[in-house]
Amino acid sequence: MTEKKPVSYETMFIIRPNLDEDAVDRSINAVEEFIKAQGGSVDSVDKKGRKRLAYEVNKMRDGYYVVISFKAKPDSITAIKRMMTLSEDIIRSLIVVVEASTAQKA
Amino acid sequence: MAANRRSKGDGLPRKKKLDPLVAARIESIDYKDVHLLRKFVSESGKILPARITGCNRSNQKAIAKAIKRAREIGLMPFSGSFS
Repeated sequence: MTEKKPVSYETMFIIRPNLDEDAVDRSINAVEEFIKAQGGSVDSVDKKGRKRLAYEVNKMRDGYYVVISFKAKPDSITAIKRMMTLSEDIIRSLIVVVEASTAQKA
Repeated sequence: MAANRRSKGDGLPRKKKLDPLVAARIESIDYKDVHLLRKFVSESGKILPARITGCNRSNQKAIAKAIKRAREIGLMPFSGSFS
């Protein structure tokens, strides 16, 4: 058992608010493609839309929230995280493991 | 009956509060559910102690974790009230 099994993850990230719809879709696509390139699979993409941030992030008061559920191998998470932090358009990101019990509900 | 007449500071044991999450039959706590989580922070945004919330140990832990995640992604404030 050297090969690790894929795990269900959920990522929430915030895209800069000053982008138009096309640019938002492009950056979401970039994340999706990157997850697939790392050997993962995307289950669902949920665009939460523009929301007010609870505090200022990089002098911005709003952000475009996106939630992506995906499956990936645990060792590819570092690369995905790095890709998102390096992206100019993504100002915040969070990746969490989806517990089996909560996955059924959502 | 006697438990109801006891007041703060009389040194007598009081009846334990019922866990609000158990009472509301909430099983999963999600960091995205800000509406629920804001009931567990003070006006200044601090996480309330279990003594006040009445949550059991495992629920209180889950709540605290969810609030911390929500703060990280800008859904809840680290300090200060909601605008």
